Amino acid sequence: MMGESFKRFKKKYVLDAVIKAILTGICAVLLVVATFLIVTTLKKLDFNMVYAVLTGVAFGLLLGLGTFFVLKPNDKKLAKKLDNTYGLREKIQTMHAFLDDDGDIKLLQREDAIKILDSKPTNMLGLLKGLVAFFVALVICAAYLVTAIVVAFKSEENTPTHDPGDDTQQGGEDDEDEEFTPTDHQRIALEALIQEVEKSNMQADVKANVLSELNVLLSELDNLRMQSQMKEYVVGVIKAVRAHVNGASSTFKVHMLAKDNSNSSIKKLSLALYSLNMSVIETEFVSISSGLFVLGGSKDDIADFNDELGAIIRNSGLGEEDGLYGVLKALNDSLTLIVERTYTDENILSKIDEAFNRTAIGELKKIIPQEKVNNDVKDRVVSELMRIFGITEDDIKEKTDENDDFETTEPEDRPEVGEDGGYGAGGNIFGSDDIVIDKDKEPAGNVDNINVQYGEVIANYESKITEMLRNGEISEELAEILRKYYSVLITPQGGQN
Amino acid sequence: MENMEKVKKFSETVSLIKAELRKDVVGQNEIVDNVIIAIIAGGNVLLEGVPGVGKTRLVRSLGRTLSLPFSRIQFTPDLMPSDVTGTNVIEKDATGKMVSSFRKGPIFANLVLADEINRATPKTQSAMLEVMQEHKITVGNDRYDLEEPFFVLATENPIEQDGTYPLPEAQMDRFVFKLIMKFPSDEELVDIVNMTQITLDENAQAVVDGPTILEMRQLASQVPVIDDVVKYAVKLVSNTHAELEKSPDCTKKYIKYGASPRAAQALITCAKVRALINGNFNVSYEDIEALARPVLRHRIKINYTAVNEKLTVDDVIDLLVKETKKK
Repeated sequence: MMGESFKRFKKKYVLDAVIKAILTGICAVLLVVATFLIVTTLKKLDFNMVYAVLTGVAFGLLLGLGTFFVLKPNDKKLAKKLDNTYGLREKIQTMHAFLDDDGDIKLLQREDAIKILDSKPTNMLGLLKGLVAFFVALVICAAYLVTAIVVAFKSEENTPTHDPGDDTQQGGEDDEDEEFTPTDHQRIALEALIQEVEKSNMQADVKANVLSELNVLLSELDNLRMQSQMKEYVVGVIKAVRAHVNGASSTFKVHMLAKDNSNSSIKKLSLALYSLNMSVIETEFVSISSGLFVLGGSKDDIADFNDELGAIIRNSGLGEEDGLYGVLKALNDSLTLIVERTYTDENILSKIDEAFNRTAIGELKKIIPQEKVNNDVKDRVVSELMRIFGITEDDIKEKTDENDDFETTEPEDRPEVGEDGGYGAGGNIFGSDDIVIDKDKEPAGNVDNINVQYGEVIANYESKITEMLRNGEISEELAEILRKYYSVLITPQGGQN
Repeated sequence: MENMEKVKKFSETVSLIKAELRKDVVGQNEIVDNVIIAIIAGGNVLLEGVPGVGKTRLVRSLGRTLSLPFSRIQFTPDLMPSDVTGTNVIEKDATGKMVSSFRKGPIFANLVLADEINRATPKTQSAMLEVMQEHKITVGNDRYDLEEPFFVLATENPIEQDGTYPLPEAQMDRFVFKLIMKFPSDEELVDIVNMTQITLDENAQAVVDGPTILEMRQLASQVPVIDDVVKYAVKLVSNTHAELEKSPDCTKKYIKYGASPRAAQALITCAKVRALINGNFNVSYEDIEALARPVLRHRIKINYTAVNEKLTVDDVIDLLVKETKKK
């Protein structure tokens, strides 16, 4: 009834649907397998690829069948397709719609439609043109699979083998999938660390907190199953220890507030306090007080410095009972008096020296040692935990995000102080604008050497002043004041007052 | 084969009508084609054009070609309805007795030329409503049937609007087509001048009679139309209504009021005739689109926005066709 041509076209389009369905199914299989491969490689999951292939085949079958049923044309859809493809002015659709009607014109219409359809070619070339997009998709999917296979092989080649004899469980990210079993060595080392902390002179409340963290870690060791789990837990303990110690550190609080201050003298002050090294503090205080004194015009600089210092005292969160609060407040009050009252240059110099190098230093000597002990114990605990459990700085950085409390981290510019004073390993340089103290020039922990260097600093200052006096750059009135100042500072022992 | 003969005769008749009309009318091919479609479909046609483009001549030639009783009514402001329809008169019969009898007006013909229809008053224009739609006339208590086939071909002048009465929408809707006769091209004008130098008489000869027209109409009505094409025609008409929620944006923006259901009927009926004239045995989307302008242009009213943007009714119809096809 519909004519041989129509049947021919129908066969062609069914074949077209079958080929497209097969291509779609193959694409689906390739996509699923490649995606499984990529995901298991990147996430380092242990997954049997046979299941991936089976899943892909099932998915491909479903998608292929779905595609076939969507694309397989019924007579009505085929008639519309033929009309549109060959521009037949709805002839085929009309023929199909009025198949059961043998009216006069309808018969003529049918004959006309069949005749025009007979004249249209049904070669395979047209079929192939429509399939180009499907073949391109197949090539892309195949390329995706090849890429996934290459990535998987590369990843396998780069995976290092684990040394089972390494008790400290050293290793990077590649070990994270391995199981973790605490060794006796680790347990003993951790217990020794706990005892060491117990015996230390750490501030009592801070010590209690640190011990609590370490004891919990010891008790939890057996519950940690995987390397990644262990690392995460130990890094958590390290961060907690840092938080306890830094939270109780007045110098830390002041430094965190003042380290980015626009006033360079305030920055020096903060950095000196943060070093927890009395020698450094004394050197820097001389430098700061000398820097603040300017002949005939000290008050502006002192006022600026004092304003910033006042702001830091108010905003640092230090309580009135805090020792450092008392030191800084006294310094602040003394400088306020200097600014408010009318003093000669000689008196200003004397008052500054009194405030910085006598009163403040004297009080700091009572505070700094305890904070230094706390800090040393913290550093010891952190380094030991890292050694025992094979934690690297990168592990800690990786597990630290911007939401963490700032106290859990160590500021990058923190000067690392040797166990018994001086400058230890690190890249920090301290000093005034004129004199630079480079840690590379002095070995770590040598307090005596630092004292000698301070003497050199003072001597350097004095020689410059002497040269200026000789050249007549300073008036006689001020020359006398300066001579007295340096005679007070420099003692026959070569130290400082 | 009998069907084929009928179709062959249909095509030959159309060709003959066209050939005869070309003897008197130069150019205006699209107008001639559409007038023939309207005649076969049984619809009335409103011809609009500036004076002298051949509106009246076309209708007169058509009247000669069709070999049907033809009358011409020149519409003027003082024309009364009874001047069109006819009236009852009292006269003496053969016995000398006074009797009332109906005297038929010029509307009693098969082909009526209503020349400059917009110059008559609304009262007279309204007298045409029943005639054009039902092909009947009511005078007093009596109803008179008009002889089939019956067509009204009206003309109107788009300029010289003083003293004219725009046709009411109801009457406009009775015209299946509104055809715009454009000014002829230079070449056509040369032919017109040369033709009228010889004689002003019309040369068209009668080539088709009333029964043949009715047979052609009957044959065309059998042309099959698939549902999708009918739906397309219906959608095109419903899309002219801005008040409908699903109407396209161009409708909401440019159309004041839309076409009546008669427009959809006219589209399908005339599309069947057009398909057959063009040698096709089914109606296509192309037939509907080709007839959209003449069928819709007098049935929709564009708003001020369209006028402001210098869009004509035909431009808006083209936009509508594009929008409807897209959906």
